[in-house]
Amino acid sequence: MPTPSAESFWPWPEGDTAHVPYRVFTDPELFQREQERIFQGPTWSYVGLEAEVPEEGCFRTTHIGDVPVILSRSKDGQVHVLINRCSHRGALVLHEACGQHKRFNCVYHQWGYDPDGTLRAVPFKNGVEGHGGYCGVDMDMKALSLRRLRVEVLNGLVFASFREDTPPLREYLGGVWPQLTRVFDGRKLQVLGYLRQRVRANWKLYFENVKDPYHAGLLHLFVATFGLFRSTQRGETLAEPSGCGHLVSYKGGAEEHREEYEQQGITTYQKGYRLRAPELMRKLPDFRDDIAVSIQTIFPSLVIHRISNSIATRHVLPRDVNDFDLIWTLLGYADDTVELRNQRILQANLVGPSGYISLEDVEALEIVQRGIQGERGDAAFVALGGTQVQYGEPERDLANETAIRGFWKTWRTLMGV
Amino acid sequence: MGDPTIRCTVEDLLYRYAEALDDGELERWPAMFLESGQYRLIPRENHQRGLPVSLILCTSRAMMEDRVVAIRKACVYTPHVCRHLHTNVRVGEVEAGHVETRANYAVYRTTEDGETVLLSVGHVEARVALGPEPRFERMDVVYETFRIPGLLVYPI
Repeated sequence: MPTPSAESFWPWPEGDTAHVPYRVFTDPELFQREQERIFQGPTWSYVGLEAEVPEEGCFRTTHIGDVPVILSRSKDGQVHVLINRCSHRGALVLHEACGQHKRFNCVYHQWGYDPDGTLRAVPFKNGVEGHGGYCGVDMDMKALSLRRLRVEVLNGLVFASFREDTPPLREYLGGVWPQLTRVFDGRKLQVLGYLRQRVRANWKLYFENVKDPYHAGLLHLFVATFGLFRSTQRGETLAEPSGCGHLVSYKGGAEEHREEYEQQGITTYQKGYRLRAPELMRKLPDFRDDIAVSIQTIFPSLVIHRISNSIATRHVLPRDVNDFDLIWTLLGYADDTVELRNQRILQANLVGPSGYISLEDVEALEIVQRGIQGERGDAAFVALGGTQVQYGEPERDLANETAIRGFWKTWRTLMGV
Repeated sequence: MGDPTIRCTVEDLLYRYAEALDDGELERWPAMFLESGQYRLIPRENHQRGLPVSLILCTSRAMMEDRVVAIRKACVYTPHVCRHLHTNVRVGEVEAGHVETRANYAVYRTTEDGETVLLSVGHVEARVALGPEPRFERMDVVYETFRIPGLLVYPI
């Protein structure tokens, strides 16, 4: 006799905010639908930094969902996001990671575009000795330009949208805007380097992870040990209807609830653990506030962190239903002192694929993806702190999953699931 | 080409270095550097463009010891072992008891289910302090596999 099957959460019961069916992380059809409804839907996708394309003709190639795009700067100083697909036969127009060209030439038949996407050159347009070519063909050069997406630039961060009805970026960000513009305050940014990893997990697990204060003080022994983040610390989480959100912990009071950790026998707090080279955790004066860790998420493709003196964008690039790439762009400001710049470089040790406080996030995501294989309507339970969904008003503690529930409500609305 | 005796010394040091990491004797790793030694594991794309960020940066032996303790006590990861292959070892001229060296490497990672993947390929640029007990004064490991499969726990 088969063992009784558990209650099925797929199809996802309407109004159930306490469960997330695992199907959303494993179904290739849902992944396809996400391309249309989310990445090419009414959302703002992060594409890169203005600082990465400083001059005319500078470009970087990346993706929005599965669509290849180009971030470029034209002669008039404007930045553009273009679909990287030749209007002629569909080849990638640019196939290098980054560079600088006055004209973007497709290698296949040498169609040439300006850095703003305008089609300029078509070889043998008039044929050869009066034969062939496009003579007598109604060819609209303007209509054959590269498709230009809607762009908004926020203090150096470049976002693009496929849709005209996406709300303006400021509105889309909602309550995330004030925190975001503390880091991206208009000062000139300097890229200090890139770290990349391929994660064998569905991309949405990462968005859950950065909206989840519960794990932060339990999984990450290192942060808990150094008082950067404990569940007993003062902090807040916020979810916006757009899927954006933030998670902040404050330094003040980090030591107060130490005994609550010890009494519960939580292994993530180690007594008497001292670094032999404590300079790693030294925090130089940077921002005028009491924030220890601050994480902003800009759905569906960007996470920003500020951890001690480390600042970075984390670009989330879904590859397929089981894989995504995570690209960390570590930043400073052009006017940083040498000392502060060096501290940011040193504290890159905390983040990225080998980071003291980020390595195990990827581990956690990968073991979830492995654990949910073979599910038959099973679901995750996300009722920490209740079952309510709360938009625009922060939860002022770090023992809840409210922001995760908010995230899923947004996803369901966009997906019609 | 460099002095073959010196090359032997450097090769021996590199092989012992690899052995410590491959045999899981991580605690032996910092001791192969001078106390003021520096270790950088840097993606090739950063190295090429002169960008300073490393995946792992230790500016002293003490910092390497901290990394070892963190790996042992703080980090959470699926158990695995690594295997280093060092090759194409070259040494420069000896100057004041030090020598610049270069080598290529490949590292494979094997998990408990017996699956082996290529974790990293790249090259090592190091400065070795010679003497009765040669040690690294500086080691830059430039990794080409700069989109890391999953996470990278152990130094290379």
